[in-house]
Amino acid sequence: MTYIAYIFDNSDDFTIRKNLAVYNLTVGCGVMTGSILGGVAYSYVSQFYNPMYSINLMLIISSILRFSVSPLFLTIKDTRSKLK
Amino acid sequence: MDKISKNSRGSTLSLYLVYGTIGALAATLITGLITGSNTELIREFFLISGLMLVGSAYLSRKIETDTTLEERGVKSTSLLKRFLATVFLFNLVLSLAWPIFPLAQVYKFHMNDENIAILSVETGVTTILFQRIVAKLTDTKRRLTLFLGSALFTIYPLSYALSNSIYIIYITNLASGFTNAVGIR
Repeated sequence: MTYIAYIFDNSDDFTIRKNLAVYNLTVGCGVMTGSILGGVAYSYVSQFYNPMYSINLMLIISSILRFSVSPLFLTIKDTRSKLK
Repeated sequence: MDKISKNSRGSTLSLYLVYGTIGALAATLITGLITGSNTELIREFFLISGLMLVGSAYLSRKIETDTTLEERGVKSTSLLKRFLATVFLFNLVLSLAWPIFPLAQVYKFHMNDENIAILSVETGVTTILFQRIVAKLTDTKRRLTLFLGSALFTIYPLSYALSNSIYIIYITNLASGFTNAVGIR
């Protein structure tokens, strides 16, 4: 709900539908690209290591990447914050 | 939804989330109780699910809307572009682990249908429990909520990688209520 609340508060009557559509498209593109890359990366890694090690390695890399990207949300600007 | 939630985004939007989650939880429990371990029955439930989706798509045409016609060529603000770039990047790294989770569930934890059902129901229940907290945070500290909602996603792959016990997975899955409430549309 927080993502949608952000889009609502940072759009006007003319842009809101387009922004929601672009948001859904962005999520879809990100998820599709990430899933494909994850699958390809696992196939590559599992050529060199045993399956269990490959699974653990991929999961740890994923954790590091997830945590590295999340602080970016603190840097975005929010119109609602300015109003308060 | 934009207009009716104008003064209290979090609490109004969370109501939709709660009703949606209750519906999903009820459907999951009904399907689980009827099918059990009988995989033969899964086909009928997929069929019913598909038909209900078509029905709900038809019903959505009946919803009354109060919209302003959009001008052609309207561009998103730079504010939103930065947000969308972050969303893209986060969803990309989020889904990198998605093909690995089922592998870990099967080959590492040897999960059965009962374990998966417990995780699924736990996610639904905790999403309902967390919605009030997330609603309040969404209205007061939005950027922090977005950060926490995304940073908490770290613990799932980490727990799958470092733990050998399914009970640790159950415990870490309690956080899915928070991350779902932040992220679910």
